[in-house]
Amino acid sequence: MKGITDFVKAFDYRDLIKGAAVTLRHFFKRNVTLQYPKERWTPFPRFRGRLTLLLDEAGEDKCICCMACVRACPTNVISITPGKKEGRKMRFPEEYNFDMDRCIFCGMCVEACNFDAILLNDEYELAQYSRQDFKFHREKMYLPTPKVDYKK
Amino acid sequence: MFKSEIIELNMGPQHPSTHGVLRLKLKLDGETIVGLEPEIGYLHRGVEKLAESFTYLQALNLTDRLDYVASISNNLGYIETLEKLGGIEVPRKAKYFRTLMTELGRLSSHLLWLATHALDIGAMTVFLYAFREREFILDMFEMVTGGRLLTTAFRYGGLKDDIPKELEQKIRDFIKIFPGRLADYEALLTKNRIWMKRTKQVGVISAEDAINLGLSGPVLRGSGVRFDVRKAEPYEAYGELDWEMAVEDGCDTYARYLVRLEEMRQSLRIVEQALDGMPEGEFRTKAPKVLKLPKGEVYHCIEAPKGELGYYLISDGKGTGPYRLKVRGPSFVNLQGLKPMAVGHMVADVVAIIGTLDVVLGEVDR
Repeated sequence: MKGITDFVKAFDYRDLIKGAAVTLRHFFKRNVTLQYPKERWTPFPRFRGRLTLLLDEAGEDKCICCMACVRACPTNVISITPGKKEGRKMRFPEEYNFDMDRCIFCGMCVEACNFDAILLNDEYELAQYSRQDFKFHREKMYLPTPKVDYKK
Repeated sequence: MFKSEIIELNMGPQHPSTHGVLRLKLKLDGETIVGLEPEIGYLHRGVEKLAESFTYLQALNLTDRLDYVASISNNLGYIETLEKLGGIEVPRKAKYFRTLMTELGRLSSHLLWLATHALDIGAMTVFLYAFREREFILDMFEMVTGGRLLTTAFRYGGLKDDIPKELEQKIRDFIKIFPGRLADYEALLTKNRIWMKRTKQVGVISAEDAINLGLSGPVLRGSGVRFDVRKAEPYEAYGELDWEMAVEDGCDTYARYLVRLEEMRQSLRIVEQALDGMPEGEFRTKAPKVLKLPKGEVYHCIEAPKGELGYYLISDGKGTGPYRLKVRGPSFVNLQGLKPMAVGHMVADVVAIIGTLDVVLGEVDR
């Protein structure tokens, strides 16, 4: 008897129809996928991208080489050589080296900085072809990451 | 005429449904499992040892990388451990906001679990639907902390930054759409005959066994044990909010599925209440920039999406970092339930059982 009731119940397709109705409704919904290379996504203001050095209004480095960022970094990717310049009271970073290949984008350096001299910018396309391109020196630190031409 | 033989089969570490790099050594009699041994350690990074060479704040980055689908919970557990040892009082606003964020983290973790668990069993539709909602939550995390997955949220004594203004509207939108989406998942799975056949009476573990093995979280509550750290020892604002613990007595994969779905509903309730009752005021207590903690040992546990997440911290009182940090990862302990659950089932059911345990290998191997 149980076999017969089970057999009859097997034709009660309500559960499957309910599921199919959900998928059918999704046919008429708006797409949520971002067509990436054509459309680009704008990160929120707090996004943690690549490390950048900031300049003040006079075009001088805000960094005074207090080494707080060097000490705060968990992966030791920042190294600074301080230097002296004519007409500037504070020290300035003669060399500011940043290894992006080991950076974990945690933002500890920015948090540690007392002079608002560094910032994690809003770039998220950071891939490069060569490992050397991940080593950033002072001159490159102010500029956006050079765009890579993707070959087919 | 015929002779039978036990064969050994390797499942993983590159198996797509072991959710990472878990290797299982299955002993099979035909297609029935007679023995099983999980082999772990493929993702070992030495997080506990690394923490000893870091400062307290730097070690927060390591906790992100334990259970990387719910890093908010890991951050909270670690920061609360520090605060327990330091004896600092957190402002009420920070408490409410931490509760809110952790529950959003729980939602995102459970959504990922639902997506992958359903995908493993064969219900592929749910996968992308759940990921779509998860994206919504990850956007909120990015808004608040700057990171989508590795959040590094919260700081000793409160929050890192104040709550962004646009966040409230985003959460309100989410609260509005999410119950409907949850109904969609339920329509696709809960009464579906294939889903029921694949999950009912699969991976059964009794309440007694679950307690003896030390399982926690939804796996324990799916066996009918009323235990939730949020209720047992309320931390943050959980004691002040109105929500219920999700418990089912089925002891099987289906019961644990129902528990997690109910937990998602309760999480949404907590999020809504925390948002409505968000107090005004300071978001961070004044704390020294270089953190030094007094000499002592402390254990603190919270309810992470996977179960009881505990941190045992020893400070020698001299350094600026932990002397020793031990992590009690819920995934690692829950993985012990795999053998008693899987023995006697077919090979295909192992996939369902790994899914129901919801292990994240980053936390198992550490």
